[in-house]
This record gives sequence, C-alpha cells and structure tokens, in this order.
Amino acid sequence: MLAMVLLAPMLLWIVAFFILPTALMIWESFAERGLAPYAAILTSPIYRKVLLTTLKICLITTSGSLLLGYPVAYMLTTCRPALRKLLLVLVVLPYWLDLIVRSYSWMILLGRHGLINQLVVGLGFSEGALPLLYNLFSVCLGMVQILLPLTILTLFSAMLRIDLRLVDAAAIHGASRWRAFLTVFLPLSLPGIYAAGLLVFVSALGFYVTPALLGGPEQTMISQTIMVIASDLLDWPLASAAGALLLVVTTCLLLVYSRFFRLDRMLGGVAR
Amino acid sequence: MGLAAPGREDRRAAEAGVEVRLDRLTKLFGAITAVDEISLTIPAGSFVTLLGPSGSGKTTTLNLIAGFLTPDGGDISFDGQAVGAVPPHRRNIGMVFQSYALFPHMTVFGNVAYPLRMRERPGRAHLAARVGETLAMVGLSGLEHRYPRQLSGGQQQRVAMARALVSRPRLLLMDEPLGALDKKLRERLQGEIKQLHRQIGSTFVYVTHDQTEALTMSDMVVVMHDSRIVQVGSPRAVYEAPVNAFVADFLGGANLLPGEVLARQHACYAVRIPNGEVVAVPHLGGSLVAGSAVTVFVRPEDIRIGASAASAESQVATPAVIREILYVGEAFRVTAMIGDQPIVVRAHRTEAQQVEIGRTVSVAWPTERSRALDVTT
Amino acid sequence: MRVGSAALKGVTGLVLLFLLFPVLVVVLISFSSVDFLSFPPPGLSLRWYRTIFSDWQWIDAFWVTAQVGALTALLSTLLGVPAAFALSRHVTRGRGMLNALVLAALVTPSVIKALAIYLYYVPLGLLNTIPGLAFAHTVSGIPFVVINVVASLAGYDRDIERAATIHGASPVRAVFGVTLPIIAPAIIVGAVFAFMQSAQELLIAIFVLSTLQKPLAVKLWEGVRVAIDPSIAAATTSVTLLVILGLVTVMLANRRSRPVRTVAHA
Repeated sequence: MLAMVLLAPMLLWIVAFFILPTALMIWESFAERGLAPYAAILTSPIYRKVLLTTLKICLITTSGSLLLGYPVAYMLTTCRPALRKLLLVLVVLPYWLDLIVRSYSWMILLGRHGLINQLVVGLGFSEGALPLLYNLFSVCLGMVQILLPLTILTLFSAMLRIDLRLVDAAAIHGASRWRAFLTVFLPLSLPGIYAAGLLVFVSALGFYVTPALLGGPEQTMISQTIMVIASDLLDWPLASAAGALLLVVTTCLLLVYSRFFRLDRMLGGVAR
Repeated sequence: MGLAAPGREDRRAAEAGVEVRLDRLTKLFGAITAVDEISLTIPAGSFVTLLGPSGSGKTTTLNLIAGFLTPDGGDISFDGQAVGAVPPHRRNIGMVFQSYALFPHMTVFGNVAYPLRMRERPGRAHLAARVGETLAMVGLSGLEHRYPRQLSGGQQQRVAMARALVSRPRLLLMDEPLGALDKKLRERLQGEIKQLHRQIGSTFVYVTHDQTEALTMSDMVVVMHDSRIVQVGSPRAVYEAPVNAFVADFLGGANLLPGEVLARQHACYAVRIPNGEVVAVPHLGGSLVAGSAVTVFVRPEDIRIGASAASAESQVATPAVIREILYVGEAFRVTAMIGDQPIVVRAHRTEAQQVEIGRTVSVAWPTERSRALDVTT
Repeated sequence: MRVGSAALKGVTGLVLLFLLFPVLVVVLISFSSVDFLSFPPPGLSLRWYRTIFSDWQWIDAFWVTAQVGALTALLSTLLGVPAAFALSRHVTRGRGMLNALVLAALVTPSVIKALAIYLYYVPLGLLNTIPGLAFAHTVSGIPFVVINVVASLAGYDRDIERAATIHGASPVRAVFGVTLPIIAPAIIVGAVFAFMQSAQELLIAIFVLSTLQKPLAVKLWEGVRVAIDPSIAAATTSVTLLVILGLVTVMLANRRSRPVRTVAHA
C-alpha cells in the first residue's frame, strides 16, 4: 500500500512522458501505410547497411571499452583506499564536460594539422599527414572515450563483490600470481563483464553526436538516419518505424540485463 | 513464572519500572517460526536477560516488545495495558542497539537530547541540564560537541546508553549492547550498566548470547532455544539446576554422562554410569522410573580429583583414567575417562601435579551438585 | 596490488590519459589567445570567455539550460526519492519489472525519446516550452536519483531510523529528521547528475525547443559544425566549472555526515 503511494508519482510520470509517447510513435509507424515502412527499412540496401554499420561500431566500441576498462577496474578494486578515491574522481571527471565538446576535442587532436599528425610528421614516422579523422577508427575512439567511465564503474562495482582473499588462497596453494588471476579472479568477474558489456552495447546503439562529428558517410549510424528521415525527409511513419525497430532491440537487451543484474549495483551508486 | 513477592527495594523499583507481560507471543517470518507461543512476565524494575544462541528468537522477542515487529499471535502488555496497537514511538521505551545506531549527523549533545526533544518540549536550560546530567551518569561530560565518528567504541556505547536513559523511560531494551567491544571494556561496562540499573530502577531487558554476561548482570535469566523459552530463573538456578542438557551446556562447561536409572530411592536415583559403577543423583521430585535413560550433569569445577578427591567429603567417588592435562592459565583442564565417556575436571595446580596421563585415579563430586536430566526434554 | 603491479599501473595510467586528454584539450583551448583552433594554444587569455559572456545568444542559451536543468533536477528528485524508498524497502514482487523500467528510461536511445515526445507534444501544445523540455528530460533524470538513493539506502543501518522511532519520533519525523539528512549526499549527487544529463541532451532539445529558444547543447551543436574559434570551448568549460563548484558543495556536505564507524556487525 505504502509502496504504491511512494511509487505512483514516478510511475505515472514515466507512463505520461515515456511509455505513452513511445506507444504513440509505434502507432504512428503503422497508422498511414501499415507495414510498408518496416518493409522499406528491412529491404532497402541503404538502411540495411546502416543497421550493419551500427552493429559493427557497437561491437568494436564495446570490446574496446571492456579491454581498456578492465585493467582500470581491477586497479580500483585492489589498490589502497586513498588512491581509489582519487582514481574514481578521475574516471568520473570527463562526464562533467559536455558530450558534444568531448567529441569535438578529438576533431582538434586528430585533424590534418592536429597534435597527433604534428607529432607523427615532426618525428618523421610519416611523409604526409595520416588520415585519422572521419573514419571507423575515429568514431570508435571517440565512443570508447565517452563510454569508458560507465564501463569502469560497472566492472568495478561487480569486482568489489569478489573476496580478494580467494586470490591469496589460490597463491598459497601454488598458483603463480598470473595463474591465480586467470583461474580465480577473472572467472569470478565474468558477471561484471557481461553486465558492463550489455550496458555499454545498449548505450552505444543510440549514439548520434560522435559518429556525426568524427565519422564519414560510411560510418552513418541508425540515430543519424532516423534524424534525417524525420527532420529532412519529414517522413514520420518511416522515422517511427526505424525508431520502433531500434526500441525492440534495446528493450530485448535490457530485459536480459535486468533478468541477471540488479539496479542498485549499477554504476556502483555513481559517485560514491 | 514470576519471582518471589516484592521486598521493600522491589517496591521502589515498581514505581520506576514497568511490568512487561508476554502472553503466547508468536512471530512468523514466512514459513519460519521465529518466536513460538512464548509467555513471560518481566517484573517491574528487574534486570532480565534473554539468553540464547543466534536464531533462538531473542532479538525477535526484543523487537516485538519495542513494537518494530507486529506479532502474528499473542499479546504484549505493559503494566496490564495491552500495547499491541501502540506504535514504537509512543511506547516510551529507551533502547540501546547492537550497532549503537547513533545519528551520525548530530553531535553527542544532539543524540542525547533527541528523545527529550521528541517526547517533551523542554526549554533550552532544562534540556541542557538533563543532557548534562545524563552524560555525567555515563561518564562522558565534556564530549557534548563531538560527532559520533570522533569517539571510540566504548564512548559511542556510552552515548547510546545516555540517549536511551535521558528521558527516564520505565523500560530499557538492550540488544547485545557490548558485543562490539573487547573483553576488558566489556567487563567494565557490565558493572556500569548494573550500577545504572540500581540507580534508576527501570525495567531492563537485555539480549545477549554471552552466558557470563547474563549470569553476572541479571536478576532473572530467560534461556531461549529454537524460538521457545526453555528455562526462566535466577542466574544461580539456571547455572546450577538446568532443566535439560541444552541449558546445562549453553551456560558453561558441563559434563553430561549418559546413564540408566536402576532405582528411585528416598532422595536420590541410583544411576549406573558408563564405567559400570552405580552413583547417587538427587531426584528433586523427578519421576523417572527404573530402566529409563538419564543424563547425569556435573560442572567441571565441582569435581575433585586424585588425593583431594579421597580426602574431600564427597558423596560420589568413582575411578577414571586420565587422558589429557591442559594448562589454561588460572587452572588445569583435566580430561578423564569414565568408561568410554570423557569428563572434564577443572583442577587446581596441586591436584594437577598429582596426576599423570594413563593413570587410574579417583574422581569425586558432592551428590547435591549433580543433576539427573531427563533425556527426553 | 597483485598481478604484474608495474604493468597494471602503466596500463591504468595510459587509459586515464586517453580518458582525460580530450578534457584537457578543451579546457586549455578555452583559454587560447588566438583566433584559430590549435593545440597546444600559443598563448593564454580570457578573451573567449569575454566573447561568450558579452554575446546575448550565449547568455540566453545558458539561461535556458539553467531553467530546464533545474526543473529537471527538482522533478527527478521529488519523483525519484520516494520511489527509491519503496524499491529498497517495500517492494517485493515486480521488482525486476520496475528495475527494467527505470533502466529503460535511462538508456533508451535519445532519438527514440525525441521522436516520440515530439509526436506526443504536438497535440498537447508543449512544444517550444521550457517545462515541456524539462518534463521529457525528467524521464532520463529519475534513474540517476533512484540508482543513487537505492544504493545509499542499501548501505544505511536501519537501526538508526529505529533508534529515532523508539526514542519518540513518529515514523514520518524519523525519515525526515534522521534518514534523509544521512542520505542527503546521495540525493544531491543524483540531482546533479540529472541536471548534467539535461544540460548535455541534444536530440530532444532540438525537437522540443528548436525555433525560439536554444539551450546550450543546441547552441554548441551548431557551433561545432562550423568550428572556427575557441568560443564553444569556453562556453562548455564555464558550465563545467559551475557544476564542479556544485559538486564541491556536495562533497563538503558528504564530509559532515559520514556514517559512524563501529566494529559491530563484523
């Protein structure tokens, strides 16, 4: 009873400003032309390519984030409390800078006359400037940078639950440090890897700013396409259908996530 | 289950303390019965300890008295008034929590003043006086402006005591209040708590799993096991005359020898013990018949051994083979075999020096210090 | 540290460098003394901050973002805190579904929310209104408050609230006088995060507030497309500095009410 009173305002709000609008969007996608918009998206080679590109970028970004984030999360788990505090502040720090500007800074760094190319040419590694911008590499680099804090915090909150004495126990029973890590810590941290992977993948699916700024036409992601259909082509049923398809994918992944992981473990309670 | 008729001192206590009566109180957590139809009268102004292993229902009972839990059956009354419908904040109780549960965002003064601010609307001078007085009682004067995290464990415990006492509640509940402290400090605070009880005369209900604490502090010990009360009595009664093997063992080292009743005589049973000998054990009105299995209970400190056993005026003496002699500081712990059953003897230095492992010696105890425990209870 | 200590430190350092370098670039460029984007800047000055704060378009953008963000943070807190109490204390059945719903509100792609809210607002007349944008942003703000408060309540010793109750406080008074002050830092952090996500959100802002008023994110987005001078770096850094000021306040609040350290519950 009390639970309902406390939950009702939030639930009503989410229904009014999230569920109902989304339902309206789905209805809109069928309203005028029935299934035709869906058929258009799934059969047109252009949209199919965008879907595949989106999946490819998300997979690369997720793997990259996990690879780079894991050592940092492990360091956070095993280091002294004072150092941990400092590292946590540093990890969360980029979040405070605007998302758009974080991608923009890569444009400055990776451009033809950017810092990286100045170094590469200046040190004689290459004759001319390297094409570092507007390709798959720059998009993934920018996205990994943005998604790393989420990855690290999710991995860290899962690793905190591992009893580090188990690693000591493995060592005392003859495992080298490296083997103890591989046979004890790594398997125990797998749930964290799955949780972080799912969450990062779902977040990556909706990226708009980074691929628009750092990618070329070849790296167009689904959010950009939906924006173009809606605001340039003004084809609302088609945009809605594309949105509905994206929604189905993210919802399925989220249901998998919440089936296995609890909400309060997410982000380790952000900045604690 | 009440105590003897109140004496003069008890009458004074009855004004300051409340009588708590539990009547067939039951609490379920899902399929688990945490408290199973317990009935108990806690006399006004007494110091009563609920003693039992973890999971015996003692903390649940305390939380039912506090009103944090609603019983699934039975009643609780204070001075004959049912309190089932009274929420915790109107029960006028003081409570000391195991984790102390001090308010981290308030100073010592704020913590101790809290119950007064909630229950009365005291003037500033009155408030300061009452808080100062209470802090002096627990020996914390001068720490008013510290925050709980700036205090040692013992000081935090005292703040928790002061907060519970400041509004002079007629009932004080304590849930393992000394569990987090080291042994020395614990012993000192046991004395201080007892002193406070004598000073203010409220009813104290104290939960612990530490039998020494229960025996030292209480007027009345309530032993709980498996969600039920197994014995209620004075510390001496539960220690010296346990009703069953569980109580005997839980309250301290106990020798429990399996035996068989051969006959019921005028004051004693004749019991055959594992070495084949027949010993006398007081029956105290028990009704075991010849042939029934029985457990003979004797405390290790009541048994004498070797030459001192022979010279003592023991009424039971029987041969035993020494198996082990352990030095435990203030005494020796000697294990001897009576037949195939070990008994433990707490031996003085002089006794221990007279025995050797493997020797057969005489062990003896006063008949009235032993008990025949019915194996079925 | 256990495995390959030095290597681990090295890798961690490099990852942190990668994470923080773009931030450093933007902050430094905002203090650049020249007209073009170059890193490292040849000289330092405050000229771009002067430019920003004397331009009415930028000042308007700041003001719009401040209003939308503040309203979002307020609504998210008012709706999220009670829900977090319910989730961590009272809800037993349907917990998984509620978790999934809150999570969905957070990570559903912006483009879906933007499209859906636009179609929804057209008949409601909420387009081009500041509350309209804040109402939509609140959906993504609530999860930050809920997640933080649920985590904080999980680490909160409920005996502290019981102690208030048994010593005479009514249950409501115990929550407001004792529990809320203790978990306040988590609530504030949640609210600040809700503000930040509102300030950084672009797509919903484009759809809801496109014509008349432009919030900062939209202004920045238009700025980076032309990207000729360091003014957008200065604009962003100003917001960040303001928010970090807020965060420092939070941390100071946090210092005051650190939980009591006891050896109990060892």
